[in-house]
Amino acid sequence: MNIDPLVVIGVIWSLVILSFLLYKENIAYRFAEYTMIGVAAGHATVSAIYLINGSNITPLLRGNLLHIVPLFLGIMLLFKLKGEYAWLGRYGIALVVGVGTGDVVRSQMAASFIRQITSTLEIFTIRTAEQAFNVFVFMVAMLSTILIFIFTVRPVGAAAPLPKVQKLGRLFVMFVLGTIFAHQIMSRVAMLAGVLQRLVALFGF
Amino acid sequence: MSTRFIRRDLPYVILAVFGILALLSYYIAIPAIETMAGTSRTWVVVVGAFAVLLGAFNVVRTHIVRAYQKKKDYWLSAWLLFIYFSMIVVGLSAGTGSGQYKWMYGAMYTPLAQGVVGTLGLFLVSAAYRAFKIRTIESLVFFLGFFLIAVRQASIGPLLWPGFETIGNWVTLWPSTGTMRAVTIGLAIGTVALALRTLARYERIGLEEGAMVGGG
Amino acid sequence: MAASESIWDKLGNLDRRILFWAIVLIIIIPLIHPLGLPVTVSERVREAYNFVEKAVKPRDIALIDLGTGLGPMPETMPGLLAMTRQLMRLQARIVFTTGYISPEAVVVIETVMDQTLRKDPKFVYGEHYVNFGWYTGGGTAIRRLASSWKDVFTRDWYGTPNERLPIMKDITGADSFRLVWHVGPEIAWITYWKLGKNVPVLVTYMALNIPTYLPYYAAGDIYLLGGQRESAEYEILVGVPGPGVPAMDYQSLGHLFVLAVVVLGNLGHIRRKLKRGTQ
Repeated sequence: MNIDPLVVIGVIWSLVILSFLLYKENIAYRFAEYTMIGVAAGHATVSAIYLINGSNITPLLRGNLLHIVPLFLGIMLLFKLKGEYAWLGRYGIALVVGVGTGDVVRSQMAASFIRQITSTLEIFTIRTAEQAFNVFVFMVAMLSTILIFIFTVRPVGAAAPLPKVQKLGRLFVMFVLGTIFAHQIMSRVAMLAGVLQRLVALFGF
Repeated sequence: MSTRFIRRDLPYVILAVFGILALLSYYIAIPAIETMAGTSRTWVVVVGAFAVLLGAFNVVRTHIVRAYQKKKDYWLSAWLLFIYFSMIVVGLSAGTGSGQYKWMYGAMYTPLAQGVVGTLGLFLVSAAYRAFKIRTIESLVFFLGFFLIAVRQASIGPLLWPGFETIGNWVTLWPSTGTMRAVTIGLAIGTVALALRTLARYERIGLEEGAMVGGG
Repeated sequence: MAASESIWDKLGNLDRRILFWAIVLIIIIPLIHPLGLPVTVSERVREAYNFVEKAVKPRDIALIDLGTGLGPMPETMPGLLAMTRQLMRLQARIVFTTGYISPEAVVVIETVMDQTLRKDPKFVYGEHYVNFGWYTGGGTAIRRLASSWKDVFTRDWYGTPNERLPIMKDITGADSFRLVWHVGPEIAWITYWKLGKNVPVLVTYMALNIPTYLPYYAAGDIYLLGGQRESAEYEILVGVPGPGVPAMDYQSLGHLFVLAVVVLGNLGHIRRKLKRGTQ
């Protein structure tokens, strides 16, 4: 039996968490919840102070006076805790949202739009029947799924087959969702095993 | 400048100015724009850290009020505050790399955090049992995708028949990738549209009076 | 007739706690008594491994960034340890960061260093590896790190200024790194480091995120390892035993159990449908 205090404490916590599902909600579980929140909040506070010290205060003290701007914006953000002055926090949020929005446009356009289209064109170097079949399946999956995102075309004339193609696209999406569910099993079993590993570690396994 | 402008409109002006600056820095090769955009990105890192502080202080404030007013389970709030301040004292004095801090974190947080997400595995089994009903062609196709990947991922599957590995790899590489590429492109268009609407103040992002997130 | 019908209905209406206990036992048994099921190495994992073997030369700097919390660690830790050991064997220098929304992964970095770098006296902190810890700002910060590392990090996570870290003489931005290994869902590494600065990016994350990354892998923008199985495969290639390969035993049984559960859950209504069809 492994009597390392860390292992024993880990086992107790794991049993407490599992008790909620395997038995019912109880005071030990609520105690565990509050402990977790206390540690998470404490760790977040310590880490944030470290980061502010390293990325802001240190360069400010070294003479980079521009760093006074984010320091002020950050302190103003903390005023959101005080009802009548909470509006002061909007400027910090505006900076973060503004810069983040500008960067996300670039990020999405470059990696998730333009690059995806150009790389689709690159797969049309077909030398064998197998490659031709693979590319055909790929293009059918891709085009039928893209057409799901069209909401404003009436299915008349040339666009009459659109609903059928969209239905095919939905089937491909359902297929992929099924594969994602299978991948989910791996992720969730791994997470559950992480908990159970603690229990068996107590007995030296 | 009126109070209304300072409290309501100026935040949106800041949002738009810095957003357009960030965007322009990718497409216009003027050093001043690149420098200003770069500096604003460093500022975002700092303000982001303050946002995390805000979240932590909010939790602390809530539990101080609960403990002080002796509400239901106030002793749990007192315990939470004790743990919180202990972490801060040890973290700031000994450092997050110290043995004491790592021990506290490893003893109190790691098993709990992993336990909470670990229980999701149990819910997955329950969902697979109760909600996964094959009643339509869509659910049958869903099951087909699920089956082909699940048997490939289980080492026993390819042991019983090597074809499971081959089919699973082919399914991942061709139809799944084609579908996900389309989804990625669709999401990209949607995200860009939302971002541009935000910059143009067509989206309410909580910088208004009374909004939960950014207002106040 | 009525008795056999009710058995099918009963099988389709089990108390979920029976299923919970069943999956718990199915995972515990191989933990206590390993089955030793074989694991085959897939093409995608071999591709990533071979790339690192060819591309990384002694004294090259690799960045390992954790964009995830503690939850996915059982899945990604085997790959993290294997990759770190491979980089150590190639005599690379390693920089650790974490950009997750909460600073949970700071402790994971400590665990990885404890189990690998700190055990080998040839690797000196500050010279061969450094931990810069946590940063906020997501994609914005990643963009900034690509152009000006020292504007975001003026010191390491333990407070040592950059001037006192020998490795920092060679780090200015993305151009200083041979590769990035990102554990998490952040696409910004692809945009700003791979497409912007041509720094190869390897990505690993939970298995359920593999489909999200497939388009980027197919475009040739990343090398991809997804989930515990591919982490275990990487472990096999690196050749140092770790937690990944033994995990495949309970993964296999877990997968088969969930398949069986799905079939069980459908037994009742499929039988009812068939009966209605014959009437």
